[in-house]
Amino acid sequence: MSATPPTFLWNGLPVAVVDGDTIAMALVRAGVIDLGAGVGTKRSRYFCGSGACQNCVVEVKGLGRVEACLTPVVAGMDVAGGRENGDE
Amino acid sequence: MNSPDALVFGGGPAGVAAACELAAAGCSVLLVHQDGALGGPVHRHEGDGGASPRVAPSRRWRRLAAEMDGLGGRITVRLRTAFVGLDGEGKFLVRDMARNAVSVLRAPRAVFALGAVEQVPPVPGWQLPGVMMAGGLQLLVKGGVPLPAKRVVLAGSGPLLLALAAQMARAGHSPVAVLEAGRPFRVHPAGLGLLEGPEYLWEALRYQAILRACGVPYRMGARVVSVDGAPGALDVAFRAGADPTIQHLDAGLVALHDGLAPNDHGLPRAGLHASGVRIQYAGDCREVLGGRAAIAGGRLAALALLSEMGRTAPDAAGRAAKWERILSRHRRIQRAVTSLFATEWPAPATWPDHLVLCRCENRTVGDLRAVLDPRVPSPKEIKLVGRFCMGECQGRLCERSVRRFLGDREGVPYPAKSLVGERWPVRPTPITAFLDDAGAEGAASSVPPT
Ligand SMILES: Cc1cc2nc3c(=O)[nH]c(=O)nc-3n(C[C@H](O)[C@H](O)[C@H](O)COP(=O)(O)OP(=O)(O)OC[C@H]3O[C@@H](n4cnc5c(N)ncnc54)[C@H](O)[C@@H]3O)c2cc1C
Ligand code: FES
Repeated sequence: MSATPPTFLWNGLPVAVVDGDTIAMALVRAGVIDLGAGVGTKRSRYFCGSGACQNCVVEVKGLGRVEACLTPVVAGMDVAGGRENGDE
Repeated sequence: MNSPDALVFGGGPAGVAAACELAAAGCSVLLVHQDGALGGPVHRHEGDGGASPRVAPSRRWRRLAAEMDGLGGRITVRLRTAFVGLDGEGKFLVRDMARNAVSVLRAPRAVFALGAVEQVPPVPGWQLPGVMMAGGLQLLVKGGVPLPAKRVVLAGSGPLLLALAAQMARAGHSPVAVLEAGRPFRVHPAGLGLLEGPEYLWEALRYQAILRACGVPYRMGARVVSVDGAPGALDVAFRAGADPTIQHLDAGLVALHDGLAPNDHGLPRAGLHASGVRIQYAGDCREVLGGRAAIAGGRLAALALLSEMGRTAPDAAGRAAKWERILSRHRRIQRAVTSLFATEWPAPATWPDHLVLCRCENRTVGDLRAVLDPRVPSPKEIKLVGRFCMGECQGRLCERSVRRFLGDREGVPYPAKSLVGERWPVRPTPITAFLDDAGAEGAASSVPPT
């Protein structure tokens, strides 16, 4: 068993994983509020917390674009914010 | 269980009560819920052990959970799975949130109990990062997530602001202020309606006492005018009462709220679906009446489905009458609460052009004014030409403001539901989620009841 706490990657930087958290909760714990470029001049962000607003959509390697507020965070996940990362 | 007797979508009090009632009558039920725990916004953090020690399970929820446990294997729960659509052939599409994969479920009948969706007040700046819905903030607080900002301002209108402020104070992170645009605690004839629901009155007074003890200003008649800035350095502008002076508060985070509406966007209509599936709505998804009424509503929805199956228990009529009485009582209470919190937001004619209505498609009041000139177009034109209520949130966030604006222009209320239809997927669902799972009916594994 490793002593280092489990992490996932947010835009390439490690962020701690807390058991039971969604990606959005883990990011807020780490102080990340702005989730990168959004539609037009808007920024992506956590807003409703319940899948209604779609403002928190992020790109997870292997999963695609998902709501950060509904997707459970898993150690080793590679998550990127912002549309520039998600759109082809 | 991929083809149960009944599907129930949404695992709040209404969905769980509906599932219990169906299972008690002998039906196999698959309860599909998008979060990691049952309970809905009020109860989901209850009983999750260490994560949020401050939330003690309520008696109401404990009883319902025990009832579900008592129904043995007839209810299967699938967590972290969301309803996305019902096709013309009666295939229910659900998305497994952890795998982002869609699978198919079949059942001859279903209950939709997807709860409520919070409404956004017409406040420039609501679209900024660092601004969230009160319910979003509440989920963080209840989930034990330390907030990355010391100064939090709650603004808008509605009982949830009061409840959230008290919950934050109890969790040791009091908001700087609550800017409540209404004047709920004034002496008002509507308040008499609350005498019928002393439990609500008592709850409100208890929250107020907590705020007083923690020194949190609850400013009634304080109307938020705009939010500006960046996370950690937001400026909240507001007006107090009739005073025209604009006052300011610094905030690291801002939570907004302006009441609740049924979360029924894009759902198949209640009744007999073209595919032959029977549909019922329950709880806040049908009519926003709160958690106590949601349990009665869930049971009533189940009874309606059972009677269509010809499985009417001898005492069904009596029980249905009792639950109808509960709904009527809560309808009267909610009416009183609504008039106590009645808020005069600025008239749509005065909304600034830069106020964002639809965040998904980046459409502002100015854009809507341009589409309107010189006449008010049809709902179809509003959507297809104006691109309002067309984005990823399916109009959940902008529909009411757009309708208010149009109603104000026309001088008659713009018809409810005219801008949102029966359209699926109810959420954007990546094509890859379908492809991954093509044809694999019920591929997602099921989660045992908790
Ligand atoms: C943000 C918010 C905060 C609230 N805070 C309070 C409070 O502090 N105190 C209080 O008394 N009342 C509060 N309420 C009201 C209270 O939640 C409801 O009155 C009550 O829970 C209604 O029960 P329900 O079963 O109808 O819906 P809910 O309890 O809301 O349950 C519906 C469930 O369906 C799930 N769902 C949504 N979409 C899907 C989908 N597509 N697929 C599968 N599942 C889905 C949701 O995650 C939700 O958990 C709040 C409501 C909201 C929306
Ligand atoms: S925050 Fe609204 S969908 Fe995630």
